[in-house]
Amino acid sequence: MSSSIASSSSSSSSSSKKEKKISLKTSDGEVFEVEEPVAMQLEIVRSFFADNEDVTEQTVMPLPNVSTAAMHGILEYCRAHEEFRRRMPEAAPEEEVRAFEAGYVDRKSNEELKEMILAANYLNISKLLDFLTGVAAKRIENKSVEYVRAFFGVENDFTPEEEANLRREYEWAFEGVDED
Amino acid sequence: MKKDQRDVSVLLFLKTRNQDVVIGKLCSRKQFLPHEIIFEILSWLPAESLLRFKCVCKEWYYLIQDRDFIKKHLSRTPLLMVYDEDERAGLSISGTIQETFTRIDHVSGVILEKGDLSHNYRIRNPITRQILFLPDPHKGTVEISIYRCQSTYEFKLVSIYRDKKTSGMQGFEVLTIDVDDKWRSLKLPGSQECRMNLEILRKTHKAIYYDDGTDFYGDVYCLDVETECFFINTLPQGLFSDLSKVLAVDWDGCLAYADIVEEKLNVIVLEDYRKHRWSQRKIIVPLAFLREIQITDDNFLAPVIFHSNKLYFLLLDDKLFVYDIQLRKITETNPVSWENKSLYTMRHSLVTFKDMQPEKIPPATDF
Repeated sequence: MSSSIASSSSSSSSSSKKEKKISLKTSDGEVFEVEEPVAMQLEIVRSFFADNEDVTEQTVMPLPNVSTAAMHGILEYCRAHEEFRRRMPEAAPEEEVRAFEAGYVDRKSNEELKEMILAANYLNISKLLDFLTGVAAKRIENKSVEYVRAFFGVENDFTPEEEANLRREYEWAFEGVDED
Repeated sequence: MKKDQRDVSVLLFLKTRNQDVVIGKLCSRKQFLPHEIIFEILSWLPAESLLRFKCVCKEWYYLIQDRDFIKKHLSRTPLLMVYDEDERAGLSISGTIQETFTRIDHVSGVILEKGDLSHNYRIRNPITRQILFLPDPHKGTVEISIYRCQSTYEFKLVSIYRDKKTSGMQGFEVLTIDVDDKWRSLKLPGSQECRMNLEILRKTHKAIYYDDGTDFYGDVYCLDVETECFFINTLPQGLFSDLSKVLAVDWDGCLAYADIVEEKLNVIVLEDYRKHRWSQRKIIVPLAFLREIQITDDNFLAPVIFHSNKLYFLLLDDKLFVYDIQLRKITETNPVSWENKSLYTMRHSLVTFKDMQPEKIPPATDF
């Protein structure tokens, strides 16, 4: 259903008639045809094509750790940034970038966000990874310890006494925490 | 249907230096994040949240007090403008005198304070609420700075004293926190047993710059704190028409001299104090906003710091302006003092030292 986005979201890239495309295959078998400058933002793709001489334009690069859903999100971000770069090669239009980024993550659930962080890390897109980890931080900064454990799926391995001691040691850091 | 495939156990691979390393097993739809990503996420958090999250689990507890993590966190912490807190009451080193402390310097989230009665010096991290008392410096100490070395990450203190016994001769001392238990004396270049009147001109993240307050823009003594060596530099002659209007600026860590002429800021930067290299040309920054500010002869506008494209200006003792030179507009304005507390810039950090102890605020006494 959603696969149409893969080819249509590049509508903004002009004169795409004979633009070089790179084929990327996600974990669930979907092949994305991605414009070269966008695909090259994925460091793992860039080094794959730089290091292997025998790959051709027909090569489909498998990305077994990236789901189709995460790939849509990744490409939306990379295409937007390529567009900003194309329009203003010198300095990015900061306010526009910020507006895009804010709208971009507002639509993502916590689970989707984590999935994209894993994908951005695997694909080695440091700019996106910094951005997404920053977003995750913003989502937890005022939350309780219990909320954060649930967010990350982390088990509490302190004894009740140890935990109580830590809470006492930094009691001022537990004031003014948001409701879960 | 495709989505459900994720419910099946999937091995998660992570690329590290061309090697595929298995780092975890995903057994449910819930995404588990590896340690290095937790590190990244936590490094963006405010220091206070991190203190709270120390009790999430043991892995987090150790991560949050890890030296490399504290460094990374510091590098990502925004520079804040803060006002001095209310008077800091605390017990003196002996634990008997109850006195207040005054901030005299700060770096990387820790504040150097001096006792108002005892003249004891201490370092305090206002976020972790820990303090460290320092050994007494030389008699006649007039100025102490706290500095963090960029590559070794050591924290050092540098003090200047004027010895009354030897007719006001000046000397320097240094102390490396966590290493020295006593102040060490610091040699000035040459043999001139300092008959000067050196005082701090600017402290930046690259060096501490001193000059002789009585000698108008003469030699600058640049203290490379890491190697504890001084380098003497002299402002080239003839660059500014009126030296009385020239000010010293922290220019991305370098020392710079600047004046303002006809809505333009003219800057000469000491790019490398070791090689005595000054910028070839004056850097000229147009200051369109000057038209909006009433400048008279007695409310002088002084540039103070230039850092990541932002210029911090003081309007005499009244306001602080932050001017973005790329956007060419003022992005922030703050009163320099508020209820008699002065404004300063600092980062909130988790920096801690070996013998730091919890700050004990004496319980309020009822009468």
